[in-house]
Amino acid sequence: MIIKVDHLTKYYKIHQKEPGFMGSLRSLVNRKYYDARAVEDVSFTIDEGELVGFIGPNGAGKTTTLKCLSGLLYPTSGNVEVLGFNPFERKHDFLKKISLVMGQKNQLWWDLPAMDSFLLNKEIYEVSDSSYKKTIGELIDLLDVKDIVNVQVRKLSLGQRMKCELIAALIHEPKVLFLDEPTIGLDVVMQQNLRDFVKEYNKKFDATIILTSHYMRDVEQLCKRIIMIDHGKVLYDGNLSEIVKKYATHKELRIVFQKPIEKRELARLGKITEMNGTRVVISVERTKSNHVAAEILKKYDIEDFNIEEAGIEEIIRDVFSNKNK
Amino acid sequence: MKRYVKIYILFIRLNYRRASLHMGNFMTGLFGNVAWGIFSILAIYILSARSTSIFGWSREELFVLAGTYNILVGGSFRMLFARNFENMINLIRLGGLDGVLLKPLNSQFGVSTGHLSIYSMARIVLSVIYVFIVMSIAGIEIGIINIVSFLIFGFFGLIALYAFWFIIMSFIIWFPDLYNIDEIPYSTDNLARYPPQILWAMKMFIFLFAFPVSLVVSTPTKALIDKLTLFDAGLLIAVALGLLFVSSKFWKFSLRNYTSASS
Amino acid sequence: MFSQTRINNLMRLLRIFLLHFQYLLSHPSRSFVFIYTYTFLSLLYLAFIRGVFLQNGGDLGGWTLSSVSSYYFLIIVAPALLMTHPEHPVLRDDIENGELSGRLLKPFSYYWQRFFHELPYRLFQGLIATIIFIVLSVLFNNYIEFRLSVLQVMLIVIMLPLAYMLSFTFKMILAITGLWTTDIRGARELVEILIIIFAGFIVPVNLLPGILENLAYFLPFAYMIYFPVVAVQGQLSVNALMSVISVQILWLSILYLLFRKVWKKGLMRFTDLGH
Repeated sequence: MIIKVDHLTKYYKIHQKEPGFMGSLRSLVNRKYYDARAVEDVSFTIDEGELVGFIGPNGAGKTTTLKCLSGLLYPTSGNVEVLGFNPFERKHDFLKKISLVMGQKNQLWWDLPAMDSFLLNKEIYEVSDSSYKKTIGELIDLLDVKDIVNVQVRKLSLGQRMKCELIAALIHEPKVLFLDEPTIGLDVVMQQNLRDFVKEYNKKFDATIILTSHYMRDVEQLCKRIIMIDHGKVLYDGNLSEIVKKYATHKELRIVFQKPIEKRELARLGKITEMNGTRVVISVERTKSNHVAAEILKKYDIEDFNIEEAGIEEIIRDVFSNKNK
Repeated sequence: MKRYVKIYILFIRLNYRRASLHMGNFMTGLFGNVAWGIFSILAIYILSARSTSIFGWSREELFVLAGTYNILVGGSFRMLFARNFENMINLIRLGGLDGVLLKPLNSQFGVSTGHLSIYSMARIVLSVIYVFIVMSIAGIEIGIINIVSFLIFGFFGLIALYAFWFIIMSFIIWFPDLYNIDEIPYSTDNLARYPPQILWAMKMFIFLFAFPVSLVVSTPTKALIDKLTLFDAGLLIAVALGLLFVSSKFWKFSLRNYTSASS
Repeated sequence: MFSQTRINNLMRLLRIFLLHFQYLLSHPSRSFVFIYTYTFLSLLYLAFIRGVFLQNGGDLGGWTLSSVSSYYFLIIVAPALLMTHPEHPVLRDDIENGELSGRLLKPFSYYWQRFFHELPYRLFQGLIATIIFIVLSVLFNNYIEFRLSVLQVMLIVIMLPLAYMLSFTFKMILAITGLWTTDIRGARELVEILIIIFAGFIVPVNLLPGILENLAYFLPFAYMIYFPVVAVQGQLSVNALMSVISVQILWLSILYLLFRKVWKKGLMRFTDLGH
């Protein structure tokens, strides 16, 4: 176990401002605060080499958890252990083995080429010359940034900057890598590039990677195991495939009929989620799916027919909204 | 220690490159910095226009003090730390401090170094020339020992001023709203232009927190013009090292309250 | 003059004023920081001048220790109330962050929008500074004797808003030069230095050495701070007050015309750049 989180709790004190002019005057003399519970009683363990996805809506507590794991935030209560260290002590030996990359957050020197920031990190992390040369060569190749590492960072696009930020964060070959929304704001191609890189890095360097994301694609492609967080609490911790079995209540029947069928007629079989001429998608209860499929095949002339699991995104959305009820 | 020296040398190189890439900024900075240098001297000229000595310092000695203020505070301190302290505000308020805290580097060092305002060198050079001119006009003779002791006590003065600034700027973690918190040490710095007795003449108990600032320039200047006592020397060294220790402890304590910025 | 449109616009401007006042009240500590800087510097200069006074036997250029102490106490209130800083939001929010486009679409002039934005800060800080003035007067046992005639008071009441408008218009011109170049740091620092010297922050203007004193009467800065202060202290006769007001009106006219010219040119440049 490389990461051990035991009943981690983190509260913030937030100033409660009363609305309106009189509210502002009252706040002058009597400031009210309340405890915002960012993370509440979270526990989990992660083994070496695992690639785990943290998913949850905005404000769920994903980033706060990562920041507690990397030593940026001091937990209100609970225990956190990463690579045998207490992260908040921020021992140099600990910091040399981890890295936290936050999407859209800039750590490179803005008006100098990225290469200069790499050199600075080399000195700070005490990376040897030979190790640096090897690692930087590999990373530049993997991310295909040879042409831009000597261009001023402020002149790079968001995607190019993100790649350089990643390199800067990986020069010291961290054993544990925290990625907070790494694909946010990037175009589709760039997102895929980044996912491929993370997969490759995990394989090549056997690094333990924890990733938070809004995008299901990130999680689907990269993570076998996911931890679902909402309102600071863990809702689910396990394999992605298990979620489907546990929570998917419906299946999707994707049908292409030979000729158009009345919507009313099909509606009695299940919920029509898509209808485009002869192409129809019907959502049917899991237990009834086979029976409905058989009925359709018997009654209608079909050109194409598929039974699929509901999209993971939909399943997870349902889990979150059901928990809120 | 060696590692920090290596990193600092790299900072100097990178800042030099940055300055040469932005000559426009460099020139504006230079202009402003030198203008404030001239103001320093003008202020003393205006204030002492109708007197021959104040608080036991002759008018000529006051002019020397204006010059050494430019060398130590207006020049050296601004060059080494000003931009870093300015940036510290947004670094803490907007979560950029995360990047510093994640590095295997003393975070106090990481936050207060990195940027050098190279154009301030002009103010230092011009002020050194100015001080020599004023001293020769006033007939104040100095030897190599005076210059060396000025440098040594100037160094301690800078440490004291650095720690003073750092303690105040650390309050941004507790009060992230106060984006103009640097105005407090900026205005308090002005105390260092005048003889230390002026703090007592202000007759406000509440300003005694600025006591370290009153020693920052006056003590090295006393060393320069042969007015230094053992008490002055010991006091400055004790204050400098004591404040540095407090700044380090307070910073570590404040970091527990750091909330970073939300994503 | 009192058409419905004008009344509506005035109501909207008042609402802007109240909104900024509200914002200001939710971050009062920032204002306290500014008041600290005025207070500290004023008392620092006062401490030095007292030393000069004690050397010269308690009388200097028409000032006594008592009147000069009051002067420096008032020099805390004067900038809090009268020295405007529209250049900060203009440069940072409107020009650098591009909010100017939005402001230009509003149905009242940019000048007056910024005016009503600035006013709450001056009033609030002026109030705090006045409290500090009273506290210092008590602590130092140094009270102003208000021996002003009704006419003097009326003229001072005219002089104060003129001083405010003078400061505001001047700073607005400085701020909109940012439309040509965003790095006007050098110019701003130079102006700050000129204001500190010639508005009477270091010493009262009539204690400035020879050529500097003459220059001070020639520039607009003394009419923003120094003259209002000495007027409140009762040092200006009715004739002197009227002279000062005339010069204020003259400077205000020049600066306002200059502002309009610079603003027109700046706006053309701004829209040319495709904002």
